[in-house]
Amino acid sequence: MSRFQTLSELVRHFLHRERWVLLPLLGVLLLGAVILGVSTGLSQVAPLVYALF
Amino acid sequence: MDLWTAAASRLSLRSPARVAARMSAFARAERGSQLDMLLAASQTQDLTLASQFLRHAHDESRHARAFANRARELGEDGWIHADGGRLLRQLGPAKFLAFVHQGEARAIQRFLVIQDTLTQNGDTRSAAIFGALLDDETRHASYTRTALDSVAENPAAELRNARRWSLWQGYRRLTASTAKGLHDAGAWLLYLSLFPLAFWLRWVRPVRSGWVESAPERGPQ
Amino acid sequence: MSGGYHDAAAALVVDGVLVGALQEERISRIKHDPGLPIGAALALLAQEGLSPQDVASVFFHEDPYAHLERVLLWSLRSFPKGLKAFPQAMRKQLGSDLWVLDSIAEGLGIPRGRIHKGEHHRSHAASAFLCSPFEQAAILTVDGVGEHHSTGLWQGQGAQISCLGQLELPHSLGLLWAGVTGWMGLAVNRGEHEVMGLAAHGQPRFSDVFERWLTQSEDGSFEVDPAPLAWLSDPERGFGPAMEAALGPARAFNARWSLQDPDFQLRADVAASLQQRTNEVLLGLATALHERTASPNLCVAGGVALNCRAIAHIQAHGPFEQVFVQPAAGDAGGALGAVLSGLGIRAPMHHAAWGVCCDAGRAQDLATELGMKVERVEDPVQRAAAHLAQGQALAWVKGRCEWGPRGLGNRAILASAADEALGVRLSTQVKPRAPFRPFAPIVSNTSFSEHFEGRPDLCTPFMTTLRQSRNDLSPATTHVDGSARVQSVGPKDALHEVLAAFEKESGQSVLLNTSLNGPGDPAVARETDALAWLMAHPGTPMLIDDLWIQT
Ligand SMILES: [Fe+2]
Ligand SMILES: [Fe+2]
Ligand SMILES: [Fe+2]
Repeated sequence: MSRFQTLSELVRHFLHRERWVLLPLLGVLLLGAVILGVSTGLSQVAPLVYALF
Repeated sequence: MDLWTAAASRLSLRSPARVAARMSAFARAERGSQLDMLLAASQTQDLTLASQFLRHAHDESRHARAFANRARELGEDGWIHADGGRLLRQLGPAKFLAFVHQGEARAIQRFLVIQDTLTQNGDTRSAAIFGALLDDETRHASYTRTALDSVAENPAAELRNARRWSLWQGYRRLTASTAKGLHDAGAWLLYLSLFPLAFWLRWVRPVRSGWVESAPERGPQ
Repeated sequence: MSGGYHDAAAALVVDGVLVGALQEERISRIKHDPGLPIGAALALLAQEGLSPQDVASVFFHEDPYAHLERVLLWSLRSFPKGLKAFPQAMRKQLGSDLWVLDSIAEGLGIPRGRIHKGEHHRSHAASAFLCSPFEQAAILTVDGVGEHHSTGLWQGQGAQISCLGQLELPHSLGLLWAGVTGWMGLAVNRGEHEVMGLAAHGQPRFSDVFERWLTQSEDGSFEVDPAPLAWLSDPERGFGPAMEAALGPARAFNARWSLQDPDFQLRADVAASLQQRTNEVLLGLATALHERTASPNLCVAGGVALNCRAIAHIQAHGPFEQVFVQPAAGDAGGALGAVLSGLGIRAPMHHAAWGVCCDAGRAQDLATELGMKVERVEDPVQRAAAHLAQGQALAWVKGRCEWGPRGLGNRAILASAADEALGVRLSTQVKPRAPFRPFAPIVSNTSFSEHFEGRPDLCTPFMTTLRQSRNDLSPATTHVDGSARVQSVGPKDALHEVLAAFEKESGQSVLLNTSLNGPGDPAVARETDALAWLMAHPGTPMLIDDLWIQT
């Protein structure tokens, strides 16, 4: 899973001295994102073009 | 089913504001369909089919404009948000044709019901817009069906596939909007619970004015 | 690549040589396409006979982690006002933007390890400097916001770019423009150039307001009062109640413009005031930059660099001998800057034709199939000139489509610039637009000074500056204040011969040249777009290479 590279880069970015205050917030958000992502939440769906018809 | 659609249509068109919102939504759908057909034309080698797609795209752009203009007359801003164009790549030629055919056939049914409702409500101007589009939509439904027969080995199976795919899309849209609701509620609560962090942050990361050094990362890594 | 916000684009370098650059909108047909430029990248690769597997590295124009950091930071800093926008911002960040490098890898079908992040303003800086003819230059980047920054001072030497200093949010000229654009009832991030066009109609009687909202120090740095803006609490409109309190109520979104509207003058005066303050502040930045670099050359990039009025102001009053602004100065240009700075190469830009071709053969087949009148003409240049000399408009398609938002002679609607009535007809029927927006003239280098002040320079081939008109021979392309966003063409440019033949036919040397697109559509790129345009505009013939098509 290549997304681990992104996750590790993300964590490395936020471990910087000025940024760690944002880490808890980021953690909670990511947890939510993962839960929703698993339940097909945030992934993209075909545009609502024909849905109206 | 027909009674049900008629009732739903009456409910969704009960005030000018609702009609306007509906017009905007249709403008958007027509615009999306225009994009799908235009890109399909550029991705189709067969000249006859590509030119049919171009004509189709042209019709849908007129439709989009007609809906947007009426929406504007009824108080909406008339802005058409554009999204679409991925359908042929996503579905492949046969399923694409089957899906568009079904969409157009469904549009005809809907348009007839809506035209009826609007006429009963006395909004003849809006009703006329739907009436004027029916010939186009009939043509769209018919050429896509003919093309499907020549492209697909088993057109009936493609139609079933397309139907299944649109049901799946409907389901995904439902789960996505549920997930969105949950996410937004969660994000909202999280945000409100953050006020201590928000105040702390003013100490730790004050707003900076004037020239500052570049970020620690420099250039692509 | 750049994308994920607005104006996604891709640029392709093969064996150290720039071979193509293209905005996603030209492929997806969604104007200012905010997605990722996968379609554009695939089109550029296909044009070179390459597949995505041949791609060694992709350089993205910014840093998605720093971007996320800024969104989190400002969501908290704006507590509690950010409540409304927070869920949506998080959905966008965590649902897509954070994973942009993965999405690129998946979209192209290549390993994630080949995708590299960049730095937004460095990409802007590189997009101007590495494409300029200068070996060394001062570089100014100004936009809405990159990761954290809105403005940067840079110095370029060879293929190296070093940062002299940057300004952070909330001090952003671009976001101030976005707010006023929203207040004008125009779409934020796309209507800014209309505000600039409107400015010529007004008097800067609100200059004190903008001097209060936008203050500048001796060292060029400026501060923006966040009070009138609302880019966090209401990002779609960009302005808050304080702006309405100071300037009057906002216009309804997407309302139609009329020069006769009772509040038209108010809007124009606000635009003029903002433009004047922008000119002053950009000049202050340029002056400060000159003091620090002592370079005679200036490159400008970032969304605000598309403001050709301000660029002209810097050229006229600034300390620099030469100024260069690349045609895609906005975020699309970030793609070009990212790849050039990522590889550390220079690619001086002499023309804007970096996009995809229009296939005349297939256009002929399709047009015939559509029942259009199609004709191969012996001498297309002569035919075009004769048609234009008769006072008719012509759609002109040749070679590869342009890089950047302007039509620069490869996808154009042409007409005589002397014919004011034809200009009015174009702006009401063929290319409907707000009545205060001017069309642009195109003229050969040799005739330039006869009609416009000064001489052709590094910006005029790309329409990134403007000039005062010397005479009233081209009313259809002269703005109310006598200015014109003129394009100069040299002997190698596609339209050079047409201009010469047109002059022979009609005695006039200036043509009206506007990008070839329908209202709300991106400019025509390929043959299907060209034919779709023709279907929507019956009556105006089109010339694709030597193919004359009429509906
Ligand atoms: Fe339609
Ligand atoms: Fe249709
Ligand atoms: Fe930017």
